Amino acid sequence: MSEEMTRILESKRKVRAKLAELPFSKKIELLEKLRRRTIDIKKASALEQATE
Amino acid sequence: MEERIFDSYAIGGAVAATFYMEPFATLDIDVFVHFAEPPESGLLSLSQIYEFSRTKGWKTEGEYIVIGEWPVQFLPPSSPLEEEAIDYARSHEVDGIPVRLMTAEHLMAMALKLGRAKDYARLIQFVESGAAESKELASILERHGLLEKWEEFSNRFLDERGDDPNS
Repeated sequence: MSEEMTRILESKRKVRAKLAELPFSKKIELLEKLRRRTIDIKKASALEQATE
Repeated sequence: MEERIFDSYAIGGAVAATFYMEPFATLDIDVFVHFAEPPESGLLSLSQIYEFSRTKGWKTEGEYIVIGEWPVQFLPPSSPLEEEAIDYARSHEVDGIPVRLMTAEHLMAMALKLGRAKDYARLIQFVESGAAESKELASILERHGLLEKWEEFSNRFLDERGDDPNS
């Protein structure tokens, strides 16, 4: 693995570790946002397929 | 007197995993339930939950009951591992409300047993997070005949890291 890739992965790991330390109630809020975003992406890709 | 449909419950899946790690994108909440009276069939007992949800004004969407904005799936345990995961779940307070969540070790064992790509991805994240207690995990894996499967998983995905549930 290149040094650059190792650095990127390490920085991602740090962000994830920070998120993991949040209180669970805060994480639930993030889960809700992630869920809405996932639904929006699914809707958008379904629309894209339908119009192709 | 309020009628009890189930004796105990535990939240599993991505929502429970989020307690131990960073939040995961998920569309639903998995709630594993032990029914108060042994049901004649899983379907029969689940119908009690759907009936109860109607009295609360909760909508149903397929097999899901929509509580707030979340589709919730109630699942009777389908294996001794899931039974045990409900029994060993720990209560945590979320905004002052006690919520029973499966332990990190049981979530890992269940992910290993399911063995889909997303389960392995979550397992790797669990290992990286250090959320699980190795001895407890090893003991669950042994009790439920999953040590060999862990070995395969470990050789395939964790070899360079040298992770061992017994270490």
